[in-house]
Amino acid sequence: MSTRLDELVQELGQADRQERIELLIDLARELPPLPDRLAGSRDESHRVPECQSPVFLFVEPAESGRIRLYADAPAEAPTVRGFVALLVAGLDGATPAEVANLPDDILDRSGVREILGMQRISGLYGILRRLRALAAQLPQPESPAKMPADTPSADPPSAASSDPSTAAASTPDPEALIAALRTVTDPELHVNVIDLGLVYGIQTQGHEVHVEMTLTSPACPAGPQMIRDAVAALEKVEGVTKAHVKLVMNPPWSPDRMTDAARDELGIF
Amino acid sequence: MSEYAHPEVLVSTAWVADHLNDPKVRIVESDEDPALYFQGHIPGAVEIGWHAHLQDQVVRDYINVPAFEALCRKAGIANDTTVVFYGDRSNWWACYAFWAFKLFGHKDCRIMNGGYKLWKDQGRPLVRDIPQYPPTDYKAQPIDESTIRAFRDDVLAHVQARRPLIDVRSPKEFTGELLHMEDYPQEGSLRAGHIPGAKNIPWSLAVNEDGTFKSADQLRALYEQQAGLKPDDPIIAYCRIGERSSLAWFVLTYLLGYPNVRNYDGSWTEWGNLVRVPIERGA
Repeated sequence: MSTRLDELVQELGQADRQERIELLIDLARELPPLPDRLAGSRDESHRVPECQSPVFLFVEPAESGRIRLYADAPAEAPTVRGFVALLVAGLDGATPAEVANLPDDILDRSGVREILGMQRISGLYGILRRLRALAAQLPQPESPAKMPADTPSADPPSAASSDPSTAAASTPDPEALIAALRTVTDPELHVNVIDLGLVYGIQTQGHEVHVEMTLTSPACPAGPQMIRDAVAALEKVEGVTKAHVKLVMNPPWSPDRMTDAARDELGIF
Repeated sequence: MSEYAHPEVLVSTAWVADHLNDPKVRIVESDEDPALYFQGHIPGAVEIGWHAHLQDQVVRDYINVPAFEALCRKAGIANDTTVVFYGDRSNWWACYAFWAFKLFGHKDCRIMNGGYKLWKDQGRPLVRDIPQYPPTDYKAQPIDESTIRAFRDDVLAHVQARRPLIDVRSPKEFTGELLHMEDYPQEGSLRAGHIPGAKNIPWSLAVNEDGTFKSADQLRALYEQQAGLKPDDPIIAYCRIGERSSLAWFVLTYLLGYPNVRNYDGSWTEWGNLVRVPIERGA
């Protein structure tokens, strides 16, 4: 997590209710206005849907693999605006990975949950989720994916898949992998796992394919079946000798992953 | 054009501006956003927050009588004080506080029509000084809460008797299309939809753009023609946690004068989690 954000969260967390509210008001007052070129883009596609107050977030790539974070929130909702300003102050100039891995516990550690109350905190989780999703769309500078390392695999990679001369000719087509996953549906929602936004990543290593996917809720009873279906569908794709599907719960799935925009994030990495 | 049934419970921003130094009047700000009061409030207003002050922090309920008395004593509210509530979001929480004060038997409660937004939009003063008032010897005189508050068993009996319910949530929450926060079930409900027989009249239809309440004729058209209510019906209003439905309760009870309206403050966060209660989906 960014050091600056960590410091701000700690300062808020150590304050009493009154001081914490004053700090949030100060942060809210100091939130920089949106640049003119973004001011006109305060539309539904940039709004955090879970938040009852209109909150707009913009994450852009900047030099040396850092991000610029811009945000707007109404002055009439100073706690929300202050929290958004805290994120901007703490994360503008951070790396995409720092933002993509932003932990939910900052709401507890900063004491913001305590002043807002259980029932009104959901919009702020929505802000954190949207921010992580936006950052995850950006090119990750330290990109090598770590997932195959801890993916259990019964078979060691075959000789063919590590031989670039033969692998190049018949490695699976990424489009074909996505098409195969489109045949796997969530039995409760009757929508395929791609359009639901459950697939977080697809990586091929020669003839082996590694997929990271999540479920709509950690307790989804259809999980094991969907994973078996996904493995079976992937292994039917030309050029695939072995498919590994790893279940991940972080970041948690949310309905906004189902939109067209969210589908673009899925990409092959 | 007809008048509101109890026009005296609604005061204008101008009335409040004229009574800022009236020792018989206490202005109370009740907001969704707990920082709003501290960012700037009506001169002399005290903060009474739904979460920080009116709710018990352990049990899901209101504070008890001694805690309510301590709250009023500290805020300089006496038993005969005229308490005027206002706040953000078109007075949701002001209505909620008004309702809670009625549970504890406070007689003279009023709502500032238009709330925080209208006061601010009219360019009236907002200050940051937190006032101190001499403590009072407030004594709560709780009413029979069953007259204005419904619990889950009351709601179940109401459904079985096919009596009218008003669901003031958004249309998508009502149909079950939108379940709040699927991945944070502790803040939402395990089931989506509405209580069988409920009519969906989103709270926002009861207020104007500037935050003031719609006219008596408009409100009557909304609740009597659109929702089919009759003034003498026993009615229960609910939403997700009981704040938006406090506004509907206020409108029906004081602006239209219905004698038998209760607020189900458990609302969808209770009903949508109860085992084996009936639920309907769709419009």
